[in-house]
Amino acid sequence: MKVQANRLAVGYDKSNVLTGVDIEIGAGEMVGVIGSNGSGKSTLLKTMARLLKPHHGAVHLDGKSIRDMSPPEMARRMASLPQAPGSPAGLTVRELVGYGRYPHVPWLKRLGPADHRVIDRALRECRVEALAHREMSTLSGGERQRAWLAMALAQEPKVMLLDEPVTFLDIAHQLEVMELITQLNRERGITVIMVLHDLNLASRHCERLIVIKEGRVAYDGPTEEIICPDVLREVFGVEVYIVRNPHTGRAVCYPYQRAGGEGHGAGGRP
Amino acid sequence: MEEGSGQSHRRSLLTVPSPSGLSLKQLAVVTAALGLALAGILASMSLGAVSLSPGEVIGGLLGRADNVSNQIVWNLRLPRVLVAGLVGMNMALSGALLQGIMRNPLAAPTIVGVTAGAGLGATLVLTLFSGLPTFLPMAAFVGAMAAAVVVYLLSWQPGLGTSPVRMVLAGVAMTSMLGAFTTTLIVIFSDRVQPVILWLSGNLVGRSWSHLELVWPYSLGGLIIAFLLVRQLNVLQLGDQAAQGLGVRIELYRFLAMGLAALLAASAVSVAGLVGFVGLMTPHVMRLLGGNNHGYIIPAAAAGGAALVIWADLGARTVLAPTEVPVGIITALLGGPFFVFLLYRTRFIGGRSL
Repeated sequence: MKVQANRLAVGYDKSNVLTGVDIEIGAGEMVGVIGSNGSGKSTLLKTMARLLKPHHGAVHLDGKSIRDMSPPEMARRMASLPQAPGSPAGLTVRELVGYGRYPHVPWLKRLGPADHRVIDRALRECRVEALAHREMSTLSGGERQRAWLAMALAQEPKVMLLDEPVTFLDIAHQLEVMELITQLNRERGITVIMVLHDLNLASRHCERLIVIKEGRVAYDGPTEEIICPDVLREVFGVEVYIVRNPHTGRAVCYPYQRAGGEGHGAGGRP
Repeated sequence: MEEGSGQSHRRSLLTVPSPSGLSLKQLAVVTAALGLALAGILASMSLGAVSLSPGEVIGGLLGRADNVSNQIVWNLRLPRVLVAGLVGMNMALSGALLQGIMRNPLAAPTIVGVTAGAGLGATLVLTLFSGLPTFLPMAAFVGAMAAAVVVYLLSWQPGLGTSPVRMVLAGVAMTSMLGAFTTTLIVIFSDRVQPVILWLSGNLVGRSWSHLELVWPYSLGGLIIAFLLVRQLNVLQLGDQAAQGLGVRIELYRFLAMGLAALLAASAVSVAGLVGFVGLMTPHVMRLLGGNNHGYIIPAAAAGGAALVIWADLGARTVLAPTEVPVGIITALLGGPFFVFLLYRTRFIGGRSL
């Protein structure tokens, strides 16, 4: 499903956090949104998820404005997971994944056999089948995030919006969850748009990166062209050293000093 | 491929869902609470200044006992115990709804300003218009609802809607403001303070069929609507952002649940005064016993709240007989230690909802 943002302007009070944002993401793409803290990347994701209402412009899914969709109608097309979602005590994985059927089940109806098949499949694909009857609070961070992804998958969405899906995980679980997201993107054809903090994860897993700087799209293009010293210097203000990981063929960057500073981080010294 | 569609995983017997969607353990808790409430009704009808045997109670209910027993059972004890049950049920349901939509363990009718509004309304009538006691329930009800509306409006932000945190903060602010007005009235009209104190601490002295008529429609309607909101309440537990991602009209359901909670609490306090802690405590006890699923919480809180106030009122009538202790004091005496327990438990359990 195609996702378009046209001339978006979004702000919390009068001042705009995002201005003139134009983005078009084609069906089946896997796109990372990067940028420094406060650049507006989370705001962009929240606007796409209709959590924030733009002052100007609109977000379209396959040409239809999300403003013209009912919440359930939208949730059947697009799943979005917040950063570090919390779950109530006692909630089991299967119950959580069952909530993914919410937009599909009419009011006052119960989950039917077809819904349970979707839930079972989501549990299986996200490899949380064995944990189905465990409580969320007893899971590790990685397992928990896989359970949330299974919930999003049970929505049968065409698009997934993920806000820093791996930020609080250790490296093994980061890889595991990123691989799962890649798999959902490839095998289910789900368009994935995710905010990522870790540039190397973005480089490793995304084909395309959108760079937000001061509320605007600073760069938008193939990952190869974004993860390079010039762009990262301009966007993050750091000098990076880039190598290629021989196992993945992807660029890996090591920041070594702040741009413009003389020597090592001279700017902060009195 | 088909083996996945069955639910053949290892599970303990107690978590197997019954046809009602509740686990056996949850069903057992609800049944026990109902049994406790029923036992309380029977005990309340036989115990008191005049003790009646079970035979006399049944005779009284059927109108076949002697005149005095008939009177005691039908006109004194039965309406009072039923009012107690419905008051407890409404307060507990109100608390369960508020805790559900606010994801805050402290959420209760007291937090959203409902009880403080009722308190001011009642105090106004009891001090300024002390000749018009028939308006007492109405004044309390209007005060409660007005406070709830103001809190809702205060927590509203244009473009963003309401947020649970703003609701709690607005509720706390309203509660303290309204409480200040109430206290001012009490100070100015210190000669009329006795009935105010009794009302503010919650009591069921002399409650009759006419009071029952004021509450039961809210209890029935509230219970039905609360059941219809189970799915939404469950999904709202995940937080606004996740719930919205699932297509929940969060603003609509928060408004419905808050309105319903306010109506339930307002109807309860309008006939019984400020019966404290029931709304806060009952849903928590039920959560500890059977989890956070609202398909369970709603009936469990309703039955548990009824049982709590029925037994507390029996205690209120009998502990210091012939003096009556306000029932609100009994529930608060139970509630305080429970809260300490809750705090103690929270230190060791990482659950988010506690």
